[in-house]
Amino acid sequence: MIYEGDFLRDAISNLLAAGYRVFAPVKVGDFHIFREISSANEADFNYILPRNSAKVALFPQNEVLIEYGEWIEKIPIDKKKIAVVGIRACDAKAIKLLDKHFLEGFVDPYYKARREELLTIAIACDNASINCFCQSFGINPRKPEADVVVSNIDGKVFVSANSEAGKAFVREFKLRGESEEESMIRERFENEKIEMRKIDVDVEKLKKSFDSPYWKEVATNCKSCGLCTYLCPTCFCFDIYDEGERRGVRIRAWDSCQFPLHTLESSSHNPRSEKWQRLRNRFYDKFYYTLRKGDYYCVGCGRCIDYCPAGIDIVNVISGVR
Amino acid sequence: MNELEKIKEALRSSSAEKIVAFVRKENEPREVLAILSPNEIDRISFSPLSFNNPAKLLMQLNGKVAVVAKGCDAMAIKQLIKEGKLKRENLFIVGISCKGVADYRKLSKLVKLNEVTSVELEGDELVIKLKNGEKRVAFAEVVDENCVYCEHPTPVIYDVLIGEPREGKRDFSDVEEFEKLSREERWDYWISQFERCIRCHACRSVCPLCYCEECMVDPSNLAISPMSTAEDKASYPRLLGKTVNAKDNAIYHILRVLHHAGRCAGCGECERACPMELPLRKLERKLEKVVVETFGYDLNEDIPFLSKLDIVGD
Amino acid sequence: MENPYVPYKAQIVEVKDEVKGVRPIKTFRIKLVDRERFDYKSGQGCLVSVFGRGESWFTIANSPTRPDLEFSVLKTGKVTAKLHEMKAGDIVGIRGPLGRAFPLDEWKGMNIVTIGGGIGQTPLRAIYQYVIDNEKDYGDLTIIYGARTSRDLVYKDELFKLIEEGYNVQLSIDNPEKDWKYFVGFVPDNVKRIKPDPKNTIAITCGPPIMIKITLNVLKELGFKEEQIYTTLERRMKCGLGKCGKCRIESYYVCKDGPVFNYAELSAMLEKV
Repeated sequence: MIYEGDFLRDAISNLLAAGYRVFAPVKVGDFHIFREISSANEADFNYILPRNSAKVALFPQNEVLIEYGEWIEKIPIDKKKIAVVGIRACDAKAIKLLDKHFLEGFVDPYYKARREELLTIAIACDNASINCFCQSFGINPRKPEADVVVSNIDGKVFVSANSEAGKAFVREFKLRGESEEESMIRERFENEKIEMRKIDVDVEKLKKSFDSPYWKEVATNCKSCGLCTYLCPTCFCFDIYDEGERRGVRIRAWDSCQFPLHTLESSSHNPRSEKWQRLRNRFYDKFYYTLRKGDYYCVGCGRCIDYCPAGIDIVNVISGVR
Repeated sequence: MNELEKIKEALRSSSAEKIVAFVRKENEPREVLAILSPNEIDRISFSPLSFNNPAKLLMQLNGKVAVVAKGCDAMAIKQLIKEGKLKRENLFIVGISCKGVADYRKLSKLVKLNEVTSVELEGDELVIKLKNGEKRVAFAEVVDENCVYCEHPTPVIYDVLIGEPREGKRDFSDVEEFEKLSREERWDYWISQFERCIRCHACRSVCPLCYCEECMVDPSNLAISPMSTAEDKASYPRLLGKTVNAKDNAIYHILRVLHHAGRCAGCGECERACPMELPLRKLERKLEKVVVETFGYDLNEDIPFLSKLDIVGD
Repeated sequence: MENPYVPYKAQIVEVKDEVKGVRPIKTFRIKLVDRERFDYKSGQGCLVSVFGRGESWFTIANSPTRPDLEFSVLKTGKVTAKLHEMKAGDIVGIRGPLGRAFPLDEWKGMNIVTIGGGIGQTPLRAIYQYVIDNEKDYGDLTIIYGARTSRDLVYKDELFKLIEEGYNVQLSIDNPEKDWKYFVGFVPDNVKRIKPDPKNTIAITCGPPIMIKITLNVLKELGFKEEQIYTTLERRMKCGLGKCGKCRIESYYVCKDGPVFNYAELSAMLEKV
């Protein structure tokens, strides 16, 4: 279907009016950050990828689990209506991967409260940035798996709804049907492959190379800063802290497997005390251990490559395993 | 002989077992640091995009090490020697008289980085060689802002110097401009900057002078041993938790920068690493100004470092 | 548990000093307030919550056939230091039961050998109490346990009582002491001396890493296969639910897929423990 107008901005206005909390990319200086907005004109959609990922909406950096005094006083889980607008196909797939982690086994009620009524509005990609490689994971950047997908093709705004929630949402908008020519243009756009990098994951080789000195070489420059994990849309490690001795909050906060404190035990034993062990662990977790859950936990967004201060490139590292 | 050839020649003349130098990164036109053996000297590269600081890497190596260091890198190395973290006799420093490095982010706005094959400085122009053709741009447009205020472009410590010695300058005009703003304006500015901080601690992780195992920001002490008692661990002072908000972030940054007073080498790695592009060098430069004006202390002075910052020993 | 992050309210009923000194161990008997004790199996653990300090994982030290919940706590950090200051009547939080239990149902009809060192005896106690309370379902029970000195032995009174009642309890201490009439030497050496028969037998060993390593070799030499040897792993744990990533080894979360593992599983892992 086609919308005559600025669908994204009108969608945000509608969502805010309906009481949703809306997360969208905001321009800060020269780059974009995903954050909560309170008016439609705060959002800006001229980007390939915002610096942080949409996981901030579902899995915020800080979340209060329990408020306590003498004993538990409050458990702050309320059902929330959240919408993420302007995500790309990689971030949309990442949400599905996070769902698998938080909602299978023990159901995480804090995540669930945000996820149940989440509305995702994605934008189809025109081009890739220099470090994108989502197509290697079977993700089609032109067909994100989101409730509503907006594609800008030849100056026209195409809108498609892919779920019940999406269909219910677009019913509020005046959308017109596509002509045969327009449908052909859209289909050609959706099936076109974008030129981008490619990653070669050889699981058998990974299995054999665990003890290889390759990992020490790769980790030479690594500073264990944890940036890769904080910007990654699928990384989910967290820590739980009590703040306040007699009354306070038990909060959970993002943690990183790259920090040496992550696995430090009280006895002072640290199973991953060396940075190459931690770095190796991250690569194996993304491409080998999580196969038990059925998927690689990487969506090819390339943020870790763009921002790693040490210049470690996940595509080169994995493709060059020996 | 061009600059790179001179660097390689100087390295060949050392008896070091290991070399810390720059090599080209795959897929991008910049260099990254690598630890090489003497027979890998031909892999070395150097360009205006060799902006990383090798000082931190040196601290994890033993034995005789040769290192390629620009002006700010050499300052960091000198400071670490003063603080007892590196030994002068173990280092063979090939100092590069630095003309400045290019700002990678500024460059990525002018060209598509994966079309660039190499960059070179020719006079005061940066020559960007592309897959087909080239682009020339005034170096002043892409130079890292940090380099504009560099005080020591010629390494303050070296075994071999590559390039003619250059004069630095002491110029705090940017800090003075900012100081003219009112207190409210300055506070609002910094709080709006700190709101973006995600406390990834990349700035701390890349800084060569942030080497403490017991960092006041960590919620537990990394430097514990099997002998540490429960009371020690329970009473470890927690200045900050993991809550991320503008005021907590401000505490983190201000405390971190205070620990660098009189020590910061000005390499700019912190600002480069920051994913949210916080103006960290601005804070550090204010402290540099304070140290110079109030204490008359020049970082280059050979005063032995009287107290160590980390109590757990070398 | 509706919200698995929220602990049940529990009250300390009794505190017993097991080991005194610089690294003291106390056993706490805890009763849930306002509800029945939940069902659990030997080997499972709980996260004991002290609001203001945090949570710590402890394996439940008593078998489900015995009343209440017992935890043996070594004073080693923030949370345990606060626990050691607590007395009967104080309130704590309990999140549990968590983790994978020992497959005691699969072990019916087999002989059981528990080999413990120091505070590692805790999960083993949950096993042998269960076996003793269900004697006719199991074969021979052998309890091998040792510590550095006689003052470092936990559950001393209980173990001496079991010896009096005729159970096969083999104690040891590292160095000779006056009035010590049992074996003197390291636990693996005691195992070598006792020579448990691997036929139709399951061996479970817990203790300091070095002891486990040597015991494993001794058991293999005696003919035990890796699938017959079980242990419990320890890691820093926070959520206890397999979500936060702290205790993850390979694709296993020690808090959810463990802490009970058998050696065949551990050998198959890439990351060696």
